[in-house]
Amino acid sequence: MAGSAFTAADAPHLLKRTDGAGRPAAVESSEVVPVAMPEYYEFYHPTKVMFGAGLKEDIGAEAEAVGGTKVMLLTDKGILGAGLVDTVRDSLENSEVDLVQVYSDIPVNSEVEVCKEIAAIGRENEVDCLVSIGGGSVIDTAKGVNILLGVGGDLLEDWQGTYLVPQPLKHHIAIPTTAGTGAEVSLGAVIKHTPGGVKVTFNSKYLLPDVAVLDPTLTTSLPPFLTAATGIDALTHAVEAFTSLEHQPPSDAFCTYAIQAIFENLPRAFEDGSDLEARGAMLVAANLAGSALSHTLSIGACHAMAHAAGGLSPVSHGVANAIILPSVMRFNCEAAVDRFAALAPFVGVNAAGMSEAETAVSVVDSIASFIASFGLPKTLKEVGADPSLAERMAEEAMGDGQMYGNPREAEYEEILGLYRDLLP
Amino acid sequence: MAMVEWFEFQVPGKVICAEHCVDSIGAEMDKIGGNKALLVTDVGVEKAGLCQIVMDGMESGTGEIVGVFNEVPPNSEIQIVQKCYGMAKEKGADSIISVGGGSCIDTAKGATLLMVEGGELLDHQSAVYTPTGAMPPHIAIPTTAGTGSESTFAAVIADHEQMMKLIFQGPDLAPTVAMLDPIMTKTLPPHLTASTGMDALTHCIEALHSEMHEPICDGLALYAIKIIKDYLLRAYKDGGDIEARTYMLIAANMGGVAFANAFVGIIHAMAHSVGGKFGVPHGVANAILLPYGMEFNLRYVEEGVPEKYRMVAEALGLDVHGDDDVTASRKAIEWLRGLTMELALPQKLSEVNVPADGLDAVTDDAMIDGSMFNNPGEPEYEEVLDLFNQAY
Repeated sequence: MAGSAFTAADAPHLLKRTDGAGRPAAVESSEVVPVAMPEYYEFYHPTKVMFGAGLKEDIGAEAEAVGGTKVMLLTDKGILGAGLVDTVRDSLENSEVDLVQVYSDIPVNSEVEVCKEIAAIGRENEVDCLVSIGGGSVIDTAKGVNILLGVGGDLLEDWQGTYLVPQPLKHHIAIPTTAGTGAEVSLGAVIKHTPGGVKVTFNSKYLLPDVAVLDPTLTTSLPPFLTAATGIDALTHAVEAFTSLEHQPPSDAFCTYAIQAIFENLPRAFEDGSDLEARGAMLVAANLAGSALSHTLSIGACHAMAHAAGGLSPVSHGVANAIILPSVMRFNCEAAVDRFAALAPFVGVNAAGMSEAETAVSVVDSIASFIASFGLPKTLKEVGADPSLAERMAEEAMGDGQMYGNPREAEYEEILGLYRDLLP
Repeated sequence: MAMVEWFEFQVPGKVICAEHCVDSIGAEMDKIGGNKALLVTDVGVEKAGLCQIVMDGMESGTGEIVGVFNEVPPNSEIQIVQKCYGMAKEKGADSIISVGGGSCIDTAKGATLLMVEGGELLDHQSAVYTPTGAMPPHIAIPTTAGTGSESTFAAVIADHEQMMKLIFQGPDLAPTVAMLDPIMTKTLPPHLTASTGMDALTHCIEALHSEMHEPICDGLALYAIKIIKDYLLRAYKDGGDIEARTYMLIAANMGGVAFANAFVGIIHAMAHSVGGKFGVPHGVANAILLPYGMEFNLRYVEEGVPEKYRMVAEALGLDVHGDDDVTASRKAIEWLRGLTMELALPQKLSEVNVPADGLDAVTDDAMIDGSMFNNPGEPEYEEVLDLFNQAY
């Protein structure tokens, strides 16, 4: 079955107001325009967030609490090898629920075929609760599996796109092992379709997990490079969501808090991976930034460019963001002076005596030098991107759904220029 | 920012915010499956013409309003909830729309509980309410920017026979949808704008110093404080300032989410008791007690209170560069005191009909109020009595 296009009833905030009263227009209107706050926003955060060192021991009880009876545990080989799954598995085995399978073959980038394979196992075993433990790929794979278990059909044919999933799905408890994507509280899933490697997006409120469990003991073994790359991914979510045309107050609050927490704690977690307090603060910051991202319909040029770069080169999402964000901030600074300036207290800029424009520039400089302090790659060329693909990247970025929320309207030539600077 | 060891955070309902969003309430009710809605409100709200806006808005969907229960008093009561539920049953309602302040919305929460469980509300007291069936759809529309009740999962309902305020709570009691529409608050008179706005501000500050504080709520509370700093006086001076009304609704909602998850402390404990014994309106009591409670809590240095108040000072845009935390905190307290004066709110309990010989009794009540247990430290009876005397 083909899903119908989304309607005003699903997302009235996407539709242009035509009656002059600020009221969402009739359903037949389909013109999509960005609407700045405070004209309209929705905030929907039904996922219960639980935080605490050692919560991994309580997953069985949590699976019981959400109503699960037959549980499947989803992870990848790296997580399994690092021993992060053991306690969670024990907890499930010692509870009233029936742990029917541990699936640990999820690839580094989630794939549609893998979702189908897992869903087949799940269906056979009448699984009613998924527990995902891993990075964004594992959690997004679980979301894809959940669509197939919950409503069936064909993932690509029926459900790719926004607001198409029609009904609540199976229970899902998500346990992140990186402080980065915030996938545990996001309504989106990005899943690769092979062959071709196209990344397909699924957005639905029903993809929001029932519970997100943040346990800092699960992130202490993450090596410094990945700690930095995933942490800067979270920072990018927060900075872009805050400066997006689609920003809204509750996510603004999440962003400012996350940015300050990342500035204070990422250097600590990078220096000393076993610093539980810093690891905990980073998990919370990434969670807040992920929720902000999920609540921002289109977050900006950096993400659009990072998606395109990620599809056409081996660069990981976090590293791509770290490379691209400084250029995009400089490109956007003048168009979003008030938004950047508002971040001053959270990035260590003392704005006393400075004009708003000067403050904004200082904020951009502060964020850029913060990113630089982790020694991550500075150009896309360093991470293996082919300079001859700059045009294709620019074309794809221009068509990416994250682009229209960018505070400065970007021309193709301008985006191409930004890519060329990063592909010398 | 010191990290807490453990917390949980949830927002069970959806929040929608837009000028005129209530015009689409019918479509929203269709989405969550309500056909026959009981409208729960009070006479004042009805007289202000706000229920009519909701009724007109129902035209945008296929459902209907089958009855209007307008008997909610300023503080909700067990008997009122029973009566409201009786009307829902009699009219065959399958959903609720609550329009009003915290009392109306809390009454509606109690009614949704009874629509699932039946019987007497008093038979359903428990630490956390777990429904035995599907909760009816509930859309809450606040007409004050104060309680944040539209997004909290507790209902405070008085039992006159026991002379107590009872709390029913559980995520399933949260309204399904909260609609924040400045059209519904723009006619609120200045003195109520002031006191309800201070209620919202007090939620934020108490969520920050509460023993159950946690980072997500800290973020929401601090941002809401910034908003209130920018917009409360504007909304007070010009009720028709839609931008200010919108932002105050947003801030009150964020404050509600913050304190629903992080709880409140000594200021609410004391405000509940003067409200319960002597009828001091909740927002007015909070406004009077806020600076005293903050000054008192400054002693809890190890619990991080001065550090938190420094963040409040920064959120208020005060220059605290180079100040130690306590000095920065005092600047915040002074600023807040000045705000309540500018809002022409009473400054002392003696101005709001609290008798001088009643302070022992309110101290007794405050000491056993649930909020007191979430305050940092363990305030002693004598200390609380002394605080009441200072605020007198």
